[in-house]
Amino acid sequence: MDASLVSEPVVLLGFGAAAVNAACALRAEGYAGRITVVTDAGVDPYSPVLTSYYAGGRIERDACNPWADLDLAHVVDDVRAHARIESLDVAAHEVVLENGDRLRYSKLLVATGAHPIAPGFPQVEGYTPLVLRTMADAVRLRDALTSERCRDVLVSGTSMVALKVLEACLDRGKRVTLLGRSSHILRASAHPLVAQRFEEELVARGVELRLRQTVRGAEPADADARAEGGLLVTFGTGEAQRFDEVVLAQGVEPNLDFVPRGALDADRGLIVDRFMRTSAPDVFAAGDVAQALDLSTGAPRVIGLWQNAVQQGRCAGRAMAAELAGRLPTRPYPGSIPRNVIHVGDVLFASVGLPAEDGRRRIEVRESPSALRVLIYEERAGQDALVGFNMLVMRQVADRREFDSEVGARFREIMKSYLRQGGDGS
Amino acid sequence: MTSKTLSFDAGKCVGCYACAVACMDQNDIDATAGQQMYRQVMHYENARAGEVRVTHVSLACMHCDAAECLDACPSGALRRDAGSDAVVVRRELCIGCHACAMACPFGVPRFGRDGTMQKCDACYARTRFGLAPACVDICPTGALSYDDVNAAMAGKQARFGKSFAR
Repeated sequence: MDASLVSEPVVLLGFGAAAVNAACALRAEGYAGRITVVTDAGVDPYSPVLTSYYAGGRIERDACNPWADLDLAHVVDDVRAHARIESLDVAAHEVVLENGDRLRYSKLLVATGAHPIAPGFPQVEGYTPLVLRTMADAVRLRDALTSERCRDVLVSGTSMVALKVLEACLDRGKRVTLLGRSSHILRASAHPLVAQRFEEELVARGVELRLRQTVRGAEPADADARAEGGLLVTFGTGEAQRFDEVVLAQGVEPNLDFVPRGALDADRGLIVDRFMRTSAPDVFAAGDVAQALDLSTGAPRVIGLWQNAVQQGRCAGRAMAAELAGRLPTRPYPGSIPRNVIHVGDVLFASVGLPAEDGRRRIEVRESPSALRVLIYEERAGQDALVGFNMLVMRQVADRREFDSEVGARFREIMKSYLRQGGDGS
Repeated sequence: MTSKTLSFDAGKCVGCYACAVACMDQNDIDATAGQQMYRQVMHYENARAGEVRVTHVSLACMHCDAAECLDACPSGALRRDAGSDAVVVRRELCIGCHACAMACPFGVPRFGRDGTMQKCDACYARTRFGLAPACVDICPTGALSYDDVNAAMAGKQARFGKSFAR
C-alpha cells in the first residue's frame, strides 16, 4: 500500500450487519485509526430482518436496532448519515459523495446492501407501490397498513420477504392476495411438495393465492387512487380486482450503482476471495453485495443472509486490520450454504441446501398431520449424502420442539456433505 | 470477564435429574404449562463385550466462545453478558425467527408458547454474586462443577490421563 494512505481512515460503505461487525472486528484486532461510515440512512443502524415485524406492529422502532447496547460512538469515529455515494475511484482510493465530498481511504468495505426490484409491474401515475427493505420502506408500509382505508393488499412475489410482508398484513387484519409467476411459493428454497403444503396453510388462514399469474395492467379504481378507490389490477387471466395497496417483493439487487463498470470484478455481486477482498487493492465487500464461496456449488454466490453478513463483515474487518498492521490475514471466511428459517403466524418452515430434484437425487418424504419433511439425497463417493432439507411444521407444540432440534442438526449434516467433498459442488 | 467455567464429568453423573429440577426451580419453569426445560438429562446404553454400560448426560447451553447463535440472531435478543461471559437471551427482543435454532450445533434453543426463545443463562443472576449455578449447587455427585478455568482444565487433564489406565 502507498505509504501516504496508511494514515487515511478505513471507510465503511453501509451501516448494516456487515459494516457494524467489520468496525467491531477492526477495533478488536487493535486498529486504532479512524473509521468513517457512509450510509444513506440515519445515524442509528437497523436490521432489515426486523422491518416486517415493525410494519406488522410486533415491535417498535427502537427495537429495530440490534446494536442498541453497543456504544458504536466509541467504535466508529464519523457517520456520514443520509449520504449518497456518487462514485468509487479505486485508483485514487477515493469515494465521491453526491454532495461533492471526496473521502480518501486506506481500506474500504463495500457493504451497501441491496434494493428491491420490481420487474414487470406496470407503472401507475400517482401511485408508488410499497416495498420492504429499508427503515423508510417499513415506516411507509406501517403507515399504509394502519390506515383504516386499507383493507385489501396485493403482495407481488413469492420470496421470503413476500411472506414476511404477508404476515405483517395478516397481523394488521388485512385481506391479502399473494401473486407470483411461479408454480409455487419459495421457488428457490422449498421443494414443491413442501411449498404446496405451505400454500394450503396460507389459504386456510384466509390468503388468496394467485400463482402462475402475471399482472397485465393496473390503474386507479376511481379518479383519485389515493382517496378511497385504490387500484384496479388486471391479471393475465383477464380478471380484475381492486386493492387498496400493492407491495412488491419480487427480489433484490445489490446496491452497486456507484461502482464504475470494470473497476471491480463483478457478476451478480462483487467477487471476493476468502478474506472478502475484491479484485481491487484495499477494497473489501461483505453482505448482500458480496459473491462469496457457496459450499453447495463451489462457486461464488450472493447468499443474502443475516448471519453471512455478520461473519463476512467480521472476516473483512479482521483482514483489513491485519493488512494495515503489516500482517497477512489468517482467518478466512469458511463459506456457507443456502439456508433459511421463516415463520408465518404459527407455520414454521426451514430450508437447508439445495431443494431441487434432478436425475442424480433421491427424495424421502416424511409426513404427519402437523409436520412435513423432505430430505434430498445425492450419491457421492458411493454413499447417500444429504444435500437438501425442508421442514414445515404446523401448530403442534411437540412438532415445533422437533423442528428446533432437527433444523440445526440437518444444517450441520448437509454442511458436512459439502465440506467432505471440498465444496466443489460436484 | 469471568475466570470460572461450568464443567460436566459424565463419569460422575448418575442421571438423578436433580440438576434439571434445580434449574426449573431457579428459573420458575412450569413444564406442565408447556414451558421448556433449559437443562436436559439423557441416558444412553452401550453394549460392549457382553457388558451393558449406561451413560448419563446432563446438557444445557454450552455458552460457546464463538457462539453461532449470537451471529445468527438478527434482533439483538441474544447477547453475551459482560460479567459472566454467558450467552443470555432477552426475550422481550426475541422475534421468534428460529435462526438461532438453525445455527446452534447442540440443539439448545427452545421456544415457549409466546414464541420467544428460552435457554440456560448459566445462572448469571447467581454467579455475579459469587454463587454457583443452581444445577451445580444441587449436584450430589460433583458431575457438574463451576470452577476456576485452570482448575477445571487440570481436572479434565487428570481424567484424560486416567483413561490410559483402563
